Amino acid sequence: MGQPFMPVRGIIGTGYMHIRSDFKAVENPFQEGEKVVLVPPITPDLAFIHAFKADRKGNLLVDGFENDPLLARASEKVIATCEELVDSREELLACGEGVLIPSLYVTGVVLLEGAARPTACRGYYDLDENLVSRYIEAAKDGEKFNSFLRDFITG
Amino acid sequence: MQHPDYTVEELMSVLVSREIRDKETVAVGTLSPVPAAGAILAKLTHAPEAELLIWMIREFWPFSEGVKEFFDLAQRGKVDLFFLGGAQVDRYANTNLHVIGDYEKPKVRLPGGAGTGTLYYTVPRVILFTTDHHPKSFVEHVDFVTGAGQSPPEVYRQGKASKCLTPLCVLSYIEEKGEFVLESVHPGITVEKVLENTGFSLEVPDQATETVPPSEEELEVLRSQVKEKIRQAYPHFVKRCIR
Repeated sequence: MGQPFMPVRGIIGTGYMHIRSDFKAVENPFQEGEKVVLVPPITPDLAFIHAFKADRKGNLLVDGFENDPLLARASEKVIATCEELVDSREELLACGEGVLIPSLYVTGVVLLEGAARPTACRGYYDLDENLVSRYIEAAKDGEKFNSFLRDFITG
Repeated sequence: MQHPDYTVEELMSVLVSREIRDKETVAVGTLSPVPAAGAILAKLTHAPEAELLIWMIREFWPFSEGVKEFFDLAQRGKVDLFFLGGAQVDRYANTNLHVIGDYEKPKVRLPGGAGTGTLYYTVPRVILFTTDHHPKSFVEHVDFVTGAGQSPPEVYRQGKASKCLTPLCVLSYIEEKGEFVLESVHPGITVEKVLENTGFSLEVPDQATETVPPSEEELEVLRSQVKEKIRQAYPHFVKRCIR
């Protein structure tokens, strides 16, 4: 989002301060005697976002429960997949559910129904519990994992 | 170990509900079916004017800017009560959602803390909960401090742990001692069993009692209206844990 850093309350006293040497505890310049933590920005080169809908210009309608608008604003490039493609921004605005990400953050859009599977896409499909359980089982073992990839990803 | 009249998750949801006061703003984060069920139960019974903020349940999530908007609200001191889970919880109310074992070479890599590292400081009243209670989950010191029970005085902090709800008992955090003591054991559970399953020397005060079991009304509301409201967000939990 173009910020040099972000001040955060809390964190001092947790293990984060041992594993993140880039987190800096400093005195709050506006509140004498208080210590706050400064954290560096996360600036992804590329973000993938799955949208409910996208229009032809690249405006996105996404799930408001998630932090996708923040992710879009922080990333250099954004590739969006979507369940549905519509013609105009007006059609996106007319939808009851979801929040808008303006096209100026979006590099490209791919119409790809079901791209969030086996996780859920609100209003389109639920979590595929069976497949997630199989994934968890397969992830414990290299051979099983390769066979899982063959069954569900690479074909 | 399962009680004939209710599941341990139902009991814990009822215990959550009893902690909630009317008109409080109560928030429930990710992967927290027991606090979600308990918060809704409270609103449908003794706390009709409680403001509930429950992630993933549209009826109780007024925000549109993801969880950031919620963190901002908490930072302003506007959230009264929050629930934190832990794969490990220690004597001093630290929680661990990072790793079991050494951080560089973990035995188990856990999902991470999400907002734990700040919400523990910004919310005045925090209740810890765990889904199991054995010597490896209740320890003297957690392997990694995701949520700090204590913090230096120069750090902004609105509150500390108030209790920890487990499948076996309720622990109460004593601020002056800076540690948990036993508050009550659940029906059918002995104090000895709690001590055997706790990996640190837990103090048992004279006034420790038996947990008051769920009332018929509490179970009735939980198994009807509450169940319906959490079904979409927690289908697995509803199927396995609510009768």
